[in-house]
Amino acid sequence: MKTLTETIKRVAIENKMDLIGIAPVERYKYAPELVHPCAHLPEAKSVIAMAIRYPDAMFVNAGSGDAESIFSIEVYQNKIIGNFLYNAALRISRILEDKGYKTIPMTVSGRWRVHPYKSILTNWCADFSNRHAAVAAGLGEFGLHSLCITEKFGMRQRFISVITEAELEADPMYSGPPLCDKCMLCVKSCPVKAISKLKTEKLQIGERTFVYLKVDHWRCGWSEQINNVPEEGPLFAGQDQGILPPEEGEITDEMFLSAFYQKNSIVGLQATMTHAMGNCMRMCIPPTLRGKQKYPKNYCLQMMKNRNFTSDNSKNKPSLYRVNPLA
Amino acid sequence: MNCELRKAIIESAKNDCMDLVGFAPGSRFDNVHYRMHPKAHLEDAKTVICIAIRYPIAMYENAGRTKAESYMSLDSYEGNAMISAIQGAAMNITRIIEDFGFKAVPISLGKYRVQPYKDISEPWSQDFRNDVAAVAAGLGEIGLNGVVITPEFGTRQMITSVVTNAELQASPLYSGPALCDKCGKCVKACKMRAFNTEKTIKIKIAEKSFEVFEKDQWRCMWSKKFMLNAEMGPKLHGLNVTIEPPERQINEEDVRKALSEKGAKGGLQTWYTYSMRECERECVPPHLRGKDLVKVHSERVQSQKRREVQI
Repeated sequence: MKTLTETIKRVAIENKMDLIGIAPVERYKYAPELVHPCAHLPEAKSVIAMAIRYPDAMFVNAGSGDAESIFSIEVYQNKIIGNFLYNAALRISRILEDKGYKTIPMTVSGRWRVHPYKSILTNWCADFSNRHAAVAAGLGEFGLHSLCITEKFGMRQRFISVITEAELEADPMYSGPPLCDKCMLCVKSCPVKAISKLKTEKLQIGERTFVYLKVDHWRCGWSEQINNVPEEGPLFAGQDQGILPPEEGEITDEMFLSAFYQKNSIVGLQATMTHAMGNCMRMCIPPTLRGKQKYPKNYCLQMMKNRNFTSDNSKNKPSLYRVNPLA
Repeated sequence: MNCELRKAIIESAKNDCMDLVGFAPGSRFDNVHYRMHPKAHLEDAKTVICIAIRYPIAMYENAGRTKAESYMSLDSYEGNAMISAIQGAAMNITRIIEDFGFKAVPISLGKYRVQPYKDISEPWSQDFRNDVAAVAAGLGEIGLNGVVITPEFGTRQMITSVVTNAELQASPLYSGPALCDKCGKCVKACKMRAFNTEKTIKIKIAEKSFEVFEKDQWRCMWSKKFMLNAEMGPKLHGLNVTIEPPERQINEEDVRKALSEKGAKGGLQTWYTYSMRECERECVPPHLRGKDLVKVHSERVQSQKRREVQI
């Protein structure tokens, strides 16, 4: 299998992947049943995890300079980087099929079961977790925010996975210096308080145990999916009004959709052309990369202090507000 | 007859992940509606190049059927990776043809005129017949379900075409054993009852002719495009909302009302769902039934026994 593993890695690199690792399926022993590799392919023996980096200056400069724009991030993150990942996964799947191994390429993050489904008890759950696959394949480890941090690019990459029945040469799991030192910047700079300071989740992958903070995916999606929080990006396209989720209590489907439509009616045409990018992701630089990677200007954190509420700012219901752009 | 160009087209298709490429002379499109004819796109069209990319075999076979109970991979590869690959391949072929000094028009996928248009009396028409092009270019045959079946992948490929005024050596028409034995599984698999088994339509392509069931495109689209039947896929993503269509002919207003009802009942999950075309998945040509399709494919690749249209 050494030659096949080498071929797969070579093809990944030829197709613009920056990181590639392989996990034997045994490392998924504790994975929930419905998102286990064998739930997709009962004959699964290996999971290939790959990542492509973001152009670093694009990532850092988004929203900065006189351009004050995040259009590049929007296009390259959602379309081009996604297409590169799909292309690499598809080509690798085809090679493995040509060799006679059943193989299923997985989706890039962005498809969800919004509500709990059968034994899946969490909201906003994909059918497979690329970030967990990345950790299992040795590309990195989890930060407090529950996302995968890599040694080489920190948070500045996107992942994809391929499940195959081929028994490929496994890579070791990451065992270098900790990539998260619990600086808490991710928690502090989240404008919707999606990351809990108190509740944690514990899980095991292979021989390693990880603990990260519990993320409320409804809150995260409030900004990331429906662009309701100008400070995380939409402001740079001219959307200075937003709706914050209630500070307390659970967010419901109805609340989420109603906020989406309300925002669209207030913002008008621009609502169809905005983008938000998680501040937790942008502000996280692992200790090993500090000084090498630059921090983006944290407009988000500064502007969060500068909100003018134009509706009743109650803790129990969504509240409309206007953000004052920084001078 | 432009042998170098033909070779360059095959090489380009190969680099772009295509599995099949065939060449059809314009004369094989004589029975096609003039608005969907190659000459409707390029007045002096002489050849149609038809390309196909297979679905990842286990992904297609397992979608919604294994413990993961999910169509997310199928949804994303069909809607992103494969469509980008095949349209990218068509674009690259077009550019090569232009570099050789000829004209070429790449054909689209998945675009429809919802209502009848001028002298096209059918709703949901496309501007070109990729199915006819596939048969004319020797890729395969048309089954009773109206879908292209190839001996290599059955119905499990995506197909598009490039129309050119370059004269290129034609591929032979498929001449092997019949790829549809009228097993009727497609009809049984369609929960929308879109096929009219009482009425067939004859499709004539060069010297080949096929009988296909008349299909009510509105009933088909009710599930395939508008995802209004939970059993065809949405249920597995957590969207358990089925809206029954009226027994009479469906119209646009019916679809609008149904979509609004689905949105009200299904909420946010309506944004993230998929509907499977079981009439296609259930259609496995006789020689591939019961076989391990990955193994069959791999043995064919390794034995180098290939049809002319296979890359």
